Amino acid sequence: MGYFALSAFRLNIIRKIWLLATSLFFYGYWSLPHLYLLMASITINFVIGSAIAKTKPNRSQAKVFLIAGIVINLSLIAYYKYADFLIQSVNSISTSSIALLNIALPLAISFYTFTQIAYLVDVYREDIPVYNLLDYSLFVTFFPQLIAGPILRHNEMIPELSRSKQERFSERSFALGISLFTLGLAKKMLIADRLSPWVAEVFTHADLVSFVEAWFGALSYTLQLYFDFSGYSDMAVGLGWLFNISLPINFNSPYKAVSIIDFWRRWHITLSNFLRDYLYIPLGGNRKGPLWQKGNLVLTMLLGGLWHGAGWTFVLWGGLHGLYLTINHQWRKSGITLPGLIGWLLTFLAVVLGWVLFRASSLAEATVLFKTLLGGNGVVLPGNLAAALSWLSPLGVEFVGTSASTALPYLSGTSSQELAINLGTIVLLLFAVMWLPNAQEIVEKYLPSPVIAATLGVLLTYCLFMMSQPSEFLYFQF
Amino acid sequence: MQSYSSFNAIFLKTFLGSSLALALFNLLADPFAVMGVARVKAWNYTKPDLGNHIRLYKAVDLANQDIKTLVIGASRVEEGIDPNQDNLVAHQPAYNLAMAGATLYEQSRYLAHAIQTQPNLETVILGIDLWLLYSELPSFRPGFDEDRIGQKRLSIEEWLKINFSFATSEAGLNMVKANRQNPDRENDYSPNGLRTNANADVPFIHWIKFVVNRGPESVSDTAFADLQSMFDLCQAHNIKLIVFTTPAHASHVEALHISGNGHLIEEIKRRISAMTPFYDFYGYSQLTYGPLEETAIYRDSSHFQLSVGDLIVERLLKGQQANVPEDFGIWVTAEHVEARLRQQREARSVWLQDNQEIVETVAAMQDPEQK
Repeated sequence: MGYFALSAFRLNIIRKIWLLATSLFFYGYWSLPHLYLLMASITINFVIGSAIAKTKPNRSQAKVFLIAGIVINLSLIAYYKYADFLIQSVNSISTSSIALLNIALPLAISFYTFTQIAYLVDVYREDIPVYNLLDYSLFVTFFPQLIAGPILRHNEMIPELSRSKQERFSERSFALGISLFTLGLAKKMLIADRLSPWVAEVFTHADLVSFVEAWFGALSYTLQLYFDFSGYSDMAVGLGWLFNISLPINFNSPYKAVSIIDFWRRWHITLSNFLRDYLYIPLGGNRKGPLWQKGNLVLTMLLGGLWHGAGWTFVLWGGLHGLYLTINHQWRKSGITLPGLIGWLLTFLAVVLGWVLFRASSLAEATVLFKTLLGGNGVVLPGNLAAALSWLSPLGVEFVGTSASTALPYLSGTSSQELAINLGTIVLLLFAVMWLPNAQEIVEKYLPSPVIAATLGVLLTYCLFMMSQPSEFLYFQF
Repeated sequence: MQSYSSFNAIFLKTFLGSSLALALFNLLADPFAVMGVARVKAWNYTKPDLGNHIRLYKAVDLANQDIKTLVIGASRVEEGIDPNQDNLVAHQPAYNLAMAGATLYEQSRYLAHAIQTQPNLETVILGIDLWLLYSELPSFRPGFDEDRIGQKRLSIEEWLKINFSFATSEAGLNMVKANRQNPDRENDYSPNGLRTNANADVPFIHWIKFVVNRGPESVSDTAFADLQSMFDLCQAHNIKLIVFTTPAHASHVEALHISGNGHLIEEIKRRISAMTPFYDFYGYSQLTYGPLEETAIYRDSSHFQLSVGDLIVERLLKGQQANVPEDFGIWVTAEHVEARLRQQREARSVWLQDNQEIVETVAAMQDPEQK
């Protein structure tokens, strides 16, 4: 309200300052020391960007500034995010026992360093307008996207700030924005957060779970990650729309993908585009022949995996997707087309297996889960299904106990009924992500229906009331 | 044609209307008794869920008192020491701040809360459950919030969190239902903090089974540090502190010996005596003897009844002049602790000879793997 009120009085500079202050307050609320780090990072990158722009006629000098800027940004992220990972890796392969630094990871550092690296490269490569510090700061810190993306490009955000239409409150933008925000919040709180303990139960007992439990955990995580991450992105885009700022869409029903190439055009789209434009293409892309292309793909994805987290499972997950992409590109060249359903199934299974690696706390945990998922540790079903499914016995299926909770103790649910509901929930969610429209499509198609308005109003209330839970300690155990 | 402005109007009206309606219900129901709303029969007079939010409730309830005497401890004190008993007439107003399962860290923070919000506080009676000094426990339990310490009122954040919550609505609905079904049901806590509805369904031997199957334990330095901080706090504010170890049924004490952890009793008593003199009620005495299922003086093996609590307070305030069995509640100092421990060893020998059946029953509760 303050934002548009200031616009109404044509106080545009103050409007932007207000938005910047709000964004910095939002970030600083989580950690004040890291706020200073963010501000220092913005200032340094702005100064370097200005230096590159000024010295650009002299390419060599501009390049020196660019390299310095990239090195500074990567050093920052290397120190805060990867220092202990490097130390642990050195300790594990050598006889050293270097003490860990235990550095607290600043919130969103992966996002804002990548955003600014992209800016510096664009300043060097292209003719871009000279931005002032206020616009630049707002571009980096705009609070809806600061914590978890989408990864913004300067030319996606900064021109938006100066559009005349952007200054006026828009009923349409507000309606779309609040609707998408509500759907995103519901995806995160009502779905992703509910799935989280189910996933944890399986992954913390990776060496004990059976076939059914492992698949339940893997599919639950596949859904949890999507609803969590896309929920955040929807909230970010929705909030941006409230301010008449269009942030790029980050997810486009990725589990409908019919190939891995298609998947990466639907999953974390802004990251894929960043990796493509600032890593894959500068490495040579597909311009240096098929072998180079494969190498570039794998290297890009390995680094993309490392960006996600300081751990070998993340790196290997990236490498796995690099391999998938290589195979997909090779397959395309062969000219053989798979039926859509087969393509979709193979893609989905490949992605699910990748997520197991992504979620596992170690390679050993991932390995044992893979073995279980592929039936290597046998298949166990509840004994009360023995009569109906006896034909599975010759295939090696074991029937144990008398109920699902005995045979499958790591499936969430204390009673058979609860278990059935949880399994049914997974099936329904899979159906939803594979066949139903996504949040952006719902918002664009069904607004401004009054029924949808009322439904979303109640949904937002539900989410709000679910957020606040006074903790309880059961006193009747004493 | 539908318009976006009417969409927004409907959205906002639905959101604000439903949120405020629910929040108003939560406020008027006040299932945790922290909103200061009047108690009405057949609505919110009795609050069944209060005990599950005792840390919230007592932080707020205490801040609304103006007391001279505070009783503090865990569940044994919470239900066993009545602040309104005759022995405390001269020490009124008194409040029972004990909470089920409260760790010594929590107790020390709630003591700080009392000192900060009760300017007329003169006396603190602290009942120490020995198990708190050797169990591996988290610093605090769910429901504890450091931000409440020293505050006279709920913070705005907590006020919003409570009123804009489905958990509160659910507790409120259950509360209204319970009140309508049984309008004469009494509250679980009296106005002075005493828990009045202790769980009578817990079998007498419930805690014996738990204690006898404990693995090897050791004394917790952290817990002792928290205890010391309570002593220091009282000393710094010139508050009279009366310390006692809470009694349990002899079968409960013996269960600790059978589990292999009996040595902890003496170690703990020595350490407490080095910090402060105290009244020792824990061990073998006339008021801890009796058959299993001796519910007249013990609700279960761990929790004494109010009649025993009255005798405890009489001993604490009147010393040897109290009309209390002479072996119940012995004054222990650093100089006399060894004599006390010797006496207890002798008392145990006698009890073992006379109560072999109880010993065998308790030993039989041990899992074969623990033996």
